[in-house]
Amino acid sequence: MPKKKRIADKNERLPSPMFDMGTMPYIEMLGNRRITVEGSTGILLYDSESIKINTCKTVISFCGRGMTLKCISSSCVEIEGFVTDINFLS
Amino acid sequence: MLLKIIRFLRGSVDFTASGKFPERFMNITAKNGVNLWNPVPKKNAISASMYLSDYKKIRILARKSRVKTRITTRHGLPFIINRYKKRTGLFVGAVCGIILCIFLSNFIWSVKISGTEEISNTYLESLLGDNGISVGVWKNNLDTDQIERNIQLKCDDIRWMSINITGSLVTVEVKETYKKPKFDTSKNPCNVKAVKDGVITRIQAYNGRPVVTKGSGVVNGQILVSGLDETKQGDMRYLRASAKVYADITEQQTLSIPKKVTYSYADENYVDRKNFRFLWLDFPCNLAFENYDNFVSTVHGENLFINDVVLPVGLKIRTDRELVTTENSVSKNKAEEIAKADCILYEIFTKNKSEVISKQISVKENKDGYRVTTDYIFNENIADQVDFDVTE
Repeated sequence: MPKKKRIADKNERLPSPMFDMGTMPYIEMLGNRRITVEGSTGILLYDSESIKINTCKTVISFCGRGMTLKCISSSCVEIEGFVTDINFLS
Repeated sequence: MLLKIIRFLRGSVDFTASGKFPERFMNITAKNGVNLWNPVPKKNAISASMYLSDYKKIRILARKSRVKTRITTRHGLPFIINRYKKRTGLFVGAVCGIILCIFLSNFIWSVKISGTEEISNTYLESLLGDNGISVGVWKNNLDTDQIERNIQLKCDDIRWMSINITGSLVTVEVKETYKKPKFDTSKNPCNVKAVKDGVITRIQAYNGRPVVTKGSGVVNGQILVSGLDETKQGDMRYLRASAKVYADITEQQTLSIPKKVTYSYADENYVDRKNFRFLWLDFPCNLAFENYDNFVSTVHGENLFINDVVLPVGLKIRTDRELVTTENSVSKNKAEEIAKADCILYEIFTKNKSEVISKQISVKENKDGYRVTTDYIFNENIADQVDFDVTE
């Protein structure tokens, strides 16, 4: 009689993700007018033409015109304005 | 909108945080759960808004981040209260006003009736009043379902009714019953007979055999249209005769008018007594000391309307007019005028279905007064259905 394989065994064999997704920032963009960054650890620079946001892994720099922070909380930042450039600085 | 209300109630401040690292200040406040909105960057500073309660907490955070904060604008209720702190009368007045509004909203301010055609609104208002719905009544104890049932049981003309209490306004919607038209359902054979003496001018026979013709003179009780008809075979058959028979009839009206007439009329002298009306209470507004021995009163009231809602505040004016009694002698011409006026009333109210062919008024003077005789010739329907027994 063939031995039944446990489902848990199957899962164990699945390939593990390349990165730890939990610590990555989650960025949501509505065109280039509104950006929501979840997983921020702080604001490094706040200017109407440049905003730099620190996350766990990287620093994200947003360049543009008339940019404002609409909402700031301990882990989430919402930016509004005309974004022209996004850079990930390690 | 809700956010604006919350911000207004909690109170908020617009402030400027100036220093070398204003971003650090933003980070620290965010980490400490302080809500910050509308941050606008400036040179070595930021301006933003936060709740008043939060602003009181951020002094240590500002020191940590080495920025100096300065309030630019204050918004909200706490600041307004603070401004009028010394004027306790305002607060007491406002609180009393709110309590009064809450208290008064428990009363019925106005009753609105819609959907009545045959039933008078006054009658319906009296029915509602008997069941406890009237202006100034405490509305919380009213059982509208029971009242609806009571009124419908009492008034057969109401097919459906609904009493809705919206705030302090009572809306009564009524649907009246459809009345059955009267049909002649009798199948007994009958004749059409004359109810008055006259000369026939027109016959409209719907059923039966006419036995008179146009121009015939008839007397009271004479058969005009017979319910007995002969068939082609020579047999007799009984019918329910139906007809409209118009005839010229004569009629005499007499009226006695005394030579001296005593009558009262409302004089130009009057007194207005104004009352300020609030719910069921009346407060006198003016002092009117003048009193008449003999007077007639008319009362009219008007309530204040705002946006089609009747408020329980209004004015009630009672006008007392003096009644003056005079004795006048009546001349012959005057007697004729009185008789003519009386004739017009008689023609309108009593003989409204008859056509006046001729009218002759004669006035005779006697010892006590005048005797006015009016000779009429009317053209009217004199037909009447009279059943008969087939054994006759």
